[in-house]
Amino acid sequence: MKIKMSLAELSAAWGVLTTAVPQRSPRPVLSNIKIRSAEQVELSATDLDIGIRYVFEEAQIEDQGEILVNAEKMSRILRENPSDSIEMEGTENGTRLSYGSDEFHLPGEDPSHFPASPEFKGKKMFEIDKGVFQTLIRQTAFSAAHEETRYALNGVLLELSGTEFKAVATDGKRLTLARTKCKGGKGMEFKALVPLKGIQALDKILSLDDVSIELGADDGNLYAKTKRAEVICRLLEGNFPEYEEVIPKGYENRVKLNRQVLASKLRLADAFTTEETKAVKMHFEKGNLTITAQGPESGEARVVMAVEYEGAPMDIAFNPQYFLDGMKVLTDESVLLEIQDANASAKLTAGEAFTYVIMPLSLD
Amino acid sequence: MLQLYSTLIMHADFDAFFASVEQALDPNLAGRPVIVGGRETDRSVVASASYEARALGVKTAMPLSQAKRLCPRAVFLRGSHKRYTAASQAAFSVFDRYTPTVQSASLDEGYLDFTHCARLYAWEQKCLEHAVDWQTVAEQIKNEVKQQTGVNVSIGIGSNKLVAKIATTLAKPNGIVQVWPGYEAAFVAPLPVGAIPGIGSRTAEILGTFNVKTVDQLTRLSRDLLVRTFGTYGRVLYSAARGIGSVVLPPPERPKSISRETTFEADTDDPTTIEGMLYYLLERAAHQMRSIGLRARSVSVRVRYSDFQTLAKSKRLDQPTHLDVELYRTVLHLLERVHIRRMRLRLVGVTLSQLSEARSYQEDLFNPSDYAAHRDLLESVDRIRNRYGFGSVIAGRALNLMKDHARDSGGFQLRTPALTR
Repeated sequence: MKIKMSLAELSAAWGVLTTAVPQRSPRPVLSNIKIRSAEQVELSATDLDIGIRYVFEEAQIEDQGEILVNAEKMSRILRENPSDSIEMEGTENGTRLSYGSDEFHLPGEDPSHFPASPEFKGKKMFEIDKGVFQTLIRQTAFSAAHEETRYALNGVLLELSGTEFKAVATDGKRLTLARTKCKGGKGMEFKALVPLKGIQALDKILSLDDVSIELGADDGNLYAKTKRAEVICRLLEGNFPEYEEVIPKGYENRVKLNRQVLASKLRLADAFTTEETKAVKMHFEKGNLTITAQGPESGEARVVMAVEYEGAPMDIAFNPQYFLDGMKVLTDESVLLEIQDANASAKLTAGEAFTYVIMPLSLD
Repeated sequence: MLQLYSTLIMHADFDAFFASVEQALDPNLAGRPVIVGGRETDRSVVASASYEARALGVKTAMPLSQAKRLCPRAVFLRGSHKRYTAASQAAFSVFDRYTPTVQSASLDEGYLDFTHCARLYAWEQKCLEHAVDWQTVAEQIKNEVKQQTGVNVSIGIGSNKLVAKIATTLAKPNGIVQVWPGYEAAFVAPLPVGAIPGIGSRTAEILGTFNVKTVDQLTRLSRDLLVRTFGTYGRVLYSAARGIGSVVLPPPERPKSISRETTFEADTDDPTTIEGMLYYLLERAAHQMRSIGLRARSVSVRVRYSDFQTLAKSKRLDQPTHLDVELYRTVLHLLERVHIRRMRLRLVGVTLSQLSEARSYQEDLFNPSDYAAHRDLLESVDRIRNRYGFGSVIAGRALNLMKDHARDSGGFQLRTPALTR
């Protein structure tokens, strides 16, 4: 096999494909990315939980065949950004890479030992706008858990029912729900609990370029397809909690907040918390929201923002990071915060599309 | 005119610490000469000698063979650091109840700062602040330490650490010496220079060449001369000779971890006993942790099998907590991971670590907690235990221990004396 590839495209593709290369594996062959040239050039990587296949655009095929390229070594070559293009050639005892005057030999591993990519043909899939989907996963993934013990929370639940497409994630302390109207997939049922790693791979693939993504799920796997890439990802087992039950229907005390002002005030207060005492107290009263923070060693902060609050005066403590995480994934000018009391969750919404439920802290 | 203490420090020091602990734990040793340091045949030195042995001339750091010659009927013991640490902890927890500012100088010696507590004791003694009888306070401390550990402690009272410490040496054994404010210089003046802490034989020898034998004589040397001779330490000597010493106690160090472990009376594989004991040990550790206002982020469980194989596992918690119920949930989870062999256990232990002063608790969306209820309950239980002894409340699975463990107000009687105060 012999091909010449654009280094810019290879670099972008490699960044996506390496998300599926395992750090350590009992099967060393998986530390490679397989490159196959036929009518077109295809790159594939898998850690057996997630598999990614990418079809290359700018390649000149001189000879057909298959080679394996060590993912880490190639990443290091690409990091130096040495040239416009690179040549790859299968040799008798391995692979030869070259550009300009530089040349590398990788020891041979049999490409036939690399697991075959699963077939996508015949899968029932629906289409959704790339930008919309990317926004949805970015608005939710941050609130997923990273815990062994609550395994079913270590991902994002993607759900299509009727014409509504939803993404939900929670770590048990806060929950995000983002939704959109989706015309594709009429009458199709789709529900997939996708691990964070899969979400990360999808996000990266969508950052390469395309206009839409197709999704489908069966037998515990997610199938995703864009123009250039295919992703198959094993879904999380276990039950995602009944999330609808913990989303408050709506509280009496509501306040509209300027997103950027709130974020700025929270960052100020947050500077006066420590890792040990990650807490701010929010005091709501007519016309004002006062945010205070204090720690035995970190000092004290008291910041005030003018708000249109009409309810009864109220004190609620929160981890400021939870709010800041939410502010970061939004672009809306203002958000609506609904609160009940110091022990109940707070509900933050940006229109119909985004709902964020945050549990308070109990302070002593 | 009677001067007032502007600062007030007490220095407390155990009498013949190791030997006294042994005597307190074994009534057969009471009144007999006890020497801790090793068997009489060991080639080691005396670490601690009871007053009965001291009366016969036995001194600390003397070779054991020599002690044996002086005192052939003495009981020689190797000693156990664990027992001494336990007694020390018990005494310091008494100190902590009298003042928030306590500095541990060593296992058997500590400073208590009462400077800011005068009003509190004035109220207790129904008198004015300047009239507080500190001697009575010191006696209360002595009695309580004796009650908790069975060991005598001597106490020196003064306006600074130096004077208090020197007073203690004069108070020994089992006494209290108080130096009145304004009399510090007069108090130290007649003493030999060696009475000043830090002056060893080498310094005393150099001072001897200046014909200085007593502290009073030391005051005649100028500060310049002392600094030229001893460097920075010369400045300390100059002050010390005038009864001036530090009044500042360094802030207490936050412990890195708090552990409680014990050996079973007989090796056991009975889950109710093992779980009961772990619950009890956890309660003891968590009680101690709460008493110093901390919460734990990490829990570990240690077991030792009959064949002495030891296994330990730990887990980082989602957030710091001081609630027994949450900590114990993790303890049980860890027990499953360490109790994996079909063999009896001889020892179990619990360690709380990654301690912090966190003051908030993150509520959960799906599992509503009873945080406030648990917190308030524990606060009450802690108060009862502080007042009537740890054994006054037996809770949770520690109830499993009641069938075959003796108990008094201090708690269950375990093989680890730390837990059988």
